[in-house]
Amino acid sequence: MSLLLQVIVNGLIAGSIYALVSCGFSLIYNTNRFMHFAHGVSVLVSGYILFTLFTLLNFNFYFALISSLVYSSFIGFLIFRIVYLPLQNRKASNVILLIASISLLLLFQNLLQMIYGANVKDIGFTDIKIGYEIGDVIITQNQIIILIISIILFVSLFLFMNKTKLGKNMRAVSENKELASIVGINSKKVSDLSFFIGSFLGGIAGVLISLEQNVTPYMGTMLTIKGFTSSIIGGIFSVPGSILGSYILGLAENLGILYLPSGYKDAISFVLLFLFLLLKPNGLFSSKRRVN
Amino acid sequence: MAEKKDNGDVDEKSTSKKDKKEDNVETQDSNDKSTTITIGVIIILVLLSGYVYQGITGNTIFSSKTTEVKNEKIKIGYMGPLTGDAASYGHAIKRGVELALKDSQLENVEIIYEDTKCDGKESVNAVNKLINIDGVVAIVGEVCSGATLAAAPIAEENNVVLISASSTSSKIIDAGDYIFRTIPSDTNQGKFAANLLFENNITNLSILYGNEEYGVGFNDILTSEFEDLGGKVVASESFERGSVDLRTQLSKIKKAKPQAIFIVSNSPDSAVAALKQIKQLGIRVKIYGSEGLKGPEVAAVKTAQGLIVTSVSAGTTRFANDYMAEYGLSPEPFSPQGYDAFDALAKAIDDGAKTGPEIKDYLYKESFTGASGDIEFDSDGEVTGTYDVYQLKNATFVMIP
Repeated sequence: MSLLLQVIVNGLIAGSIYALVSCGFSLIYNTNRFMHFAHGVSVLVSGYILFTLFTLLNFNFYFALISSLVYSSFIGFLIFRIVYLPLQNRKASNVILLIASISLLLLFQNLLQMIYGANVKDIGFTDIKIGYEIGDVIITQNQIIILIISIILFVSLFLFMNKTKLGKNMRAVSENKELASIVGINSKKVSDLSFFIGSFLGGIAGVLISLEQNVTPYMGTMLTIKGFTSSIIGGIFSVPGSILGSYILGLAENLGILYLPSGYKDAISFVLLFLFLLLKPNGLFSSKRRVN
Repeated sequence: MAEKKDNGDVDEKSTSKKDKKEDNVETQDSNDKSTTITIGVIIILVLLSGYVYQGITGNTIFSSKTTEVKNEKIKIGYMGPLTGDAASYGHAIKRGVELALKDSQLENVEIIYEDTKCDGKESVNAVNKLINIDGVVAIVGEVCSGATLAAAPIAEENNVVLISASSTSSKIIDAGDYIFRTIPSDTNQGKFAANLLFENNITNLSILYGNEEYGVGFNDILTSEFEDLGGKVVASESFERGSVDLRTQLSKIKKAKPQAIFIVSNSPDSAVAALKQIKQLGIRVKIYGSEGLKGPEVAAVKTAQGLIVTSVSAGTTRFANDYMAEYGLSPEPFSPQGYDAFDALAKAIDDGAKTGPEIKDYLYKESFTGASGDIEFDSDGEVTGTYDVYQLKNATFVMIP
């Protein structure tokens, strides 16, 4: 029993980490309708800025943290303005944007590796020590913070998308760009903002994941894949849905290997991805009218 | 793929016709979305195939049987991870090779470096490129066992010597006549580790291993040797190379209540994560590891102090001095084996061997004292090495006599 509880907590921690990545990814997809795989770049940049400012240059942690978030937000915004927007202006299809986004991810991954080397980098902000024991379950302070932040993100993104004017505008643009412009919504501005906010969320993910798992140039790719899978499970058309999808993925992977050999961990997530694509391509939490 | 793309084009054309009814537009919009998702999935699969098929042998399309020596210079290839999570091993071996080249004073030899990221696919590409385009007669590499096994059939088919400084999988014994290594097989290390554990009064063991050639092979040998001695393996859990979330594997291990955990990993990312999470989950047992853990990244983990690793020879004192003089570093994992791998080839070339078959024949007759100990290849191209035990103290690995 205690093992089961611990594994559920492990699943929730993994799910929270995926949620941090998938919510920004899905927010950007929602407004712009193409896969921004370079979302991993925001995560990477934020992790490496934190490492540079805090660990290498010994700046104050909170200064380093805020700088990481600022840099990652701007990098996402600039990617949109410098790469995607000119392509869109030339009537490039979403497939071309998708390919551009993958090359950006690879480009940044290799750039960071050139600058910092391939080694694992430890931020060293918190000491590694045994976590809090709650009953038989062990969880560290950092993991509790990750859990809480992803729950806060879930609630606030839900409210943001449904209650605020900007959120409603984003949904309007995502549903019908032309109709949205007719009623006076500036769709370019909405796209700008979605990249800015989405990449800011990616930055939060980068900081928390760097503290939890260390920094490597490859973390962006794997996290983007997991974030994408979570979005498909939860419903890529719904930001809160993709957060719930992340928890489902995290729990499925960890509970799955409780009973199956551990080597199947990644296989479980991809089997899940295929099942959802076959049976419920719009995910669990997308509204039905889009199914047609 | 082409079909999907066509669909996308059609959709775009039809959505551009603005006189369509609204719900109709929505249908096509949705089709466009699902096309994008499908293409996204295809790309994910392509990216993923690297993980899934890692280590599976590929056959060469461009196999050419003849390796001509046109230039005066004899070309030797080097392949290993110079980027990626195993890059530290690749650079250590490369430094060993470069030092050996310098010491050999051979002027007619040129080394061509290829980065493979320890990936089976990449190593197949690299070995094809080295053989067919550069025309090398021998290659130092690969570093990871899976990648060596992927490249071996191609080297064998083209009569090119492949000599690894770090691949320890027991499967390499049967890889072919042209396949050598200057590091002993895991069969020996597994036996050595089992004895060490048993001597330290450990009877309940758990093993955490990487799910690839090296880890799987090591786990099999260690399990059978340890159980032959009368011990019991109470849990053996695996992880994907580079994976950094090992909490559930470790929770299962904790539940099995072992006296010690033996970690087999050639991915520093995963090893560091495992050592951190063992501490975080409050698992208070002795921790042992294979030689893959004996590197700077693991040494820097504060909570890993006390870790005991089994490792092949770290090199002679003379080699350590030379290495320090050249690079300002103490010998890294596998750098003495890298030195010996190139030195073995250099001695053959110095003796007049120019082609793959000539070098191969010389290697089987060769016997010398190298940087890592006595090198004498048996009929399978294997060396018998000795192992030492190291303990991590104050961020350095100290040899335990």
